[in-house]
Amino acid sequence: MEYRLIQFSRNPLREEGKNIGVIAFDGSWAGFKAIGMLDGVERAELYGYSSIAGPDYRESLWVFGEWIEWFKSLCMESEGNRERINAELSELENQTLHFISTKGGYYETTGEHPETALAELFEELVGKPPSGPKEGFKELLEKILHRAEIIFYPEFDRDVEVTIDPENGASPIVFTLDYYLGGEKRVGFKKIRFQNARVAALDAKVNDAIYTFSEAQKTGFLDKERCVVLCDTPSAKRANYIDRLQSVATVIDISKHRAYWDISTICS
Amino acid sequence: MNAVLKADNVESPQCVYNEKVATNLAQTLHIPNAAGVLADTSGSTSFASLEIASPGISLPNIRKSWISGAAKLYPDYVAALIVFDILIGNNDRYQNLKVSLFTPHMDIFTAFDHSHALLHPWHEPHKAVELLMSDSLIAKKHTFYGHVSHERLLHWGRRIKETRNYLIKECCEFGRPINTVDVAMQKKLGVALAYRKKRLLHIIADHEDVIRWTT
Repeated sequence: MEYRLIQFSRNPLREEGKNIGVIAFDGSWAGFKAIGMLDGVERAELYGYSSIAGPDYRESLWVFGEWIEWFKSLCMESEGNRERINAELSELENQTLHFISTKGGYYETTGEHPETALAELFEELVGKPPSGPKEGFKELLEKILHRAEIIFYPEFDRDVEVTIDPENGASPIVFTLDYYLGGEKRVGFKKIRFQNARVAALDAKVNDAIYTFSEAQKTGFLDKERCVVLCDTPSAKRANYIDRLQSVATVIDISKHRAYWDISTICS
Repeated sequence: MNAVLKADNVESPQCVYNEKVATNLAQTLHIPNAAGVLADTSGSTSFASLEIASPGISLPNIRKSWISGAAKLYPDYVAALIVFDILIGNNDRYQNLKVSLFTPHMDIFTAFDHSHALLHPWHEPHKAVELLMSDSLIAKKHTFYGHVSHERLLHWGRRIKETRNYLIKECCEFGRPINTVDVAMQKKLGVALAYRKKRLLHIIADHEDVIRWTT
């Protein structure tokens, strides 16, 4: 079976690419497997590309998803035709310098399903994306927001100040949101770090979140289920903060595996 | 800023002029096309295509199996692009298109590469102008033929037809030669396109069998 590695290079003129996927073909079949592509799941998960894309391209992570579809379509359209696949991959540089196809090679198969050979090739040549140093709250939060894919919405904004003029002529109500998703289904977010936070600062943050979401609901700006606190896991001593926050908002612990899914569900 | 730099070449001797005029026309007519500027490079004029590399990492070109999906997702852009390609005599659309198809809320549909339209290299420039002045479809092949609604096609045909002549001419005239394209040829192209836009609806109607619109 013939194969070619697919790499991504942040700076094509200066550095070598990082392996992100492999395309394998045998004349009558072709398959592509890349980081984030899970068996039985139609769309690839893109958060694994954060460390590969680096800070310069973090906002363009979604483009990896478009390219993954391009390689999948190449396999489907070509039906494994070696000449066609090699020709298209060789001309890749006319479309982009960031995605590179190596010259490739041959992989000895022992009659198993081609999908199995592709999975072995992928495991051997690509594997998992490189993991960076242990993530802090800020990095983990960014990763979760990417994985939930809400930052790709044009209505997504950071550090938003909301001013509401009450109809009764009273003073304007002003509050701030760390993240805000506008549009038809408005969602407001506050982030709170429990671990390593000083008590006074934590008190202020929690009180501010409660004030913000109380006012947002009172004025009809946000529904309660769309008021979201994103936090880490508090120590037992600080668990009482969670009860207070849950009285006005949905609290999502971003260190939990399902955090991205919960955020995505609220925003959909 | 990333840009793709293009120069006149044997295959497309009026590449730079064609690209710049197509960009001017697309901006004037609101056609989804990559922006670009003229740039001086070692004594000659080049064309720098600016949006192809956006957003940060360039999107892939459209694939054959994506055409139907793109037409469903961007029906108005598709109609605009077909009518535009008929106007400029572009028989080379093929996959020269960047489209976001798989990411919700990312609305990107950007055409590029018009080096083989207008004073296209299959003819001498004066013959290309003659062809544009006729009712020939010129764009005999197109990525989206068979994937466009008649109503939208007519809408864009009318829009372009109603554009003032002087605006079309201004897109073609630079008041100085652009490499080998002199001022006289630029004026001739302006006149030809002003004529062709008036004939657009006739040209479209005469070639229903090729364009194969849906109803």
